[in-house]
Amino acid sequence: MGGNYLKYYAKKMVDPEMDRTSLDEANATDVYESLSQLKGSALKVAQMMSMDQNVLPKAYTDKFQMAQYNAPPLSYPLVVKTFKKYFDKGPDELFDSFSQKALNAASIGQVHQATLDGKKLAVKIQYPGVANSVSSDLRLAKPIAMRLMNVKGKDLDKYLGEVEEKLLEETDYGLELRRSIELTKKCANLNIRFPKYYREFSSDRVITMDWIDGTHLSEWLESNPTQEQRNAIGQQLWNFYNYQIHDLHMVHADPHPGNFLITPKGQLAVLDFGCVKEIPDDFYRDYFQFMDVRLVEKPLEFKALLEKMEFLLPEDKPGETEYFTRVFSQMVSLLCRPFGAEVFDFSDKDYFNRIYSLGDEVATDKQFRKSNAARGSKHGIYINRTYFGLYNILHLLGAKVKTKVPSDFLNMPKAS
Amino acid sequence: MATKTKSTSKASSKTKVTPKRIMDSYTKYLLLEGKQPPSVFKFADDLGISEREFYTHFTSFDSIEKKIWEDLMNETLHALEKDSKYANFNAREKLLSFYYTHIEVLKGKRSFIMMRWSGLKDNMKTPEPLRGYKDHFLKYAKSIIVDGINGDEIKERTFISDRYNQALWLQLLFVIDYWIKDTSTDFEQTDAAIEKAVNLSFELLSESTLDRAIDFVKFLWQTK
Repeated sequence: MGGNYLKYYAKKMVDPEMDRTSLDEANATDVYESLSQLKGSALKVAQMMSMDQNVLPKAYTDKFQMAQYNAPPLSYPLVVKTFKKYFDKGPDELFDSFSQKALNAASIGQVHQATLDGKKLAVKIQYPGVANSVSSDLRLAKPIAMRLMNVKGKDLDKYLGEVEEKLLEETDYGLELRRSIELTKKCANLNIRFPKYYREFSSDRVITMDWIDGTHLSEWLESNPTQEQRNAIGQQLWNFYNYQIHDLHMVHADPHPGNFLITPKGQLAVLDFGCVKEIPDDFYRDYFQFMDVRLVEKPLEFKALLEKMEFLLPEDKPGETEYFTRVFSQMVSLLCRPFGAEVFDFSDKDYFNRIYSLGDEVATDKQFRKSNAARGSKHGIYINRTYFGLYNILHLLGAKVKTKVPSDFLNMPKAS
Repeated sequence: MATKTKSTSKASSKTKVTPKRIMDSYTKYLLLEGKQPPSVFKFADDLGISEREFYTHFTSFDSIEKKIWEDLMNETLHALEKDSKYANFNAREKLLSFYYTHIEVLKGKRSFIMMRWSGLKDNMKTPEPLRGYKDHFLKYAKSIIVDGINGDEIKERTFISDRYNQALWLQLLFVIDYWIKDTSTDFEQTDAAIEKAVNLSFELLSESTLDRAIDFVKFLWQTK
């Protein structure tokens, strides 16, 4: 795992020391102030960054979490208007009951509760004008992203292009509905609870699904579940992601604790397929060769792969090549460690501290800061985000997980 | 076009001319020709009625436009009255419903409004065609404010509260202006603008920082 976004993640990995925090705080306030003038999708970018609580310094995440609560809710008259536009009926004509107030806020919409024929439903409604403002919002977010990621504006465009595409997809509720139905169908035998989706009550701006009773992951953790329960949930999560990435090549790329519920029966429930990354075949093949822990011990093959993945660039100076090869090999062997183990203990504080301190070391390194070229494929952004999110949740859970990589994968012919 | 109007008007000249037919023909002329008819005489002639008949319904072209605007407002207010949910809304929701309904109603006459708007909004004084429209709105806004004061959403302030409806009138002009310039799909940005404008105005109208400021200024004034 690596690339420019890794550089970005690495730079932002937490250093819990106090003196840095105050510095971060000043930066964060600065960035937050610029961001708070934005709306919609820039908010989403902020959320994306705040998701990885352990990856961004705490001062940043605190500020960005404020951003999540800043979008004012849609008024009920606008909800009614939206329903009349798409269904020719108000929500209380369509359902037996409908909550006037939203029960949950999402970044680009809000969730109401409805009942029909004794069934509880969750109705997600999108804020007006979000889709129209994605591109202009991203342009506004660009200078901030440049500062956060230390990348030249021109190079940043390929990553922002990927982010823009994903954000636009997220505003496309028709696509989300189709993907939700497809993914939940394909994952049906994973022992995970998914809501059923209702086409007849969904449209460009509305998605209706089953209401799932349960507690949010963070609340559930406060109820002191046993180690076995934590392991079980952690394993369900791991299997869910493993299956999507390696069998479906299509992944729910938003592992935010808010997207998971624990049902009263102790089952994991997954909500919200707004952000799904489809993994191109050649990217998949190259990227996951890093999972083979033995690769780092073969310098030539390792270097060839780094070049292929654009982590090392043709225009690098000799010193840079060696420097980045060393940095990436350290990161890869550290970040891929769970893949090499039979069982990995995600509660291991030492492991996460080592990630943070490596990130911090790199971030303050002059040579690393000096190079502001873009490194790594754009497809990595959401895959890395997925893994960082997943690691983060597993760490929160303190779960021991059987992480063995599917053996047939490692026997795949290597791309040269 | 003129010949076509003539032929249809001849056929209907026996039936009584209604204000609605006059309004429709006038709007059609305005939008197709890009200007008002040269005279009432010409307009009445094209319609196949006498000038006298025209004057039993309207006094001038401006008075036709005035009626068009008034009708837009009344249609909106009637639609709200008919909505069974509307009566139970609080003041903020009522005003939001008003805007959403009104924009739907205005959509039916968007070309007319776009053509006339720039001439109307630049006036310091309320222009003649908007007079009735404004009066109806001010009356409506007053009722919203009374609702808001009774429901504790709006703070009654000496002297100022009598002018609240004037402030809402300015907000209405802003919304229409925004809608005219809006190029987003199905005017979604206007929906967002309405939400934000109404939320802001209710923040200001409710017990807020404004009152602390007034209180403070009063204190300084009285004690200095």
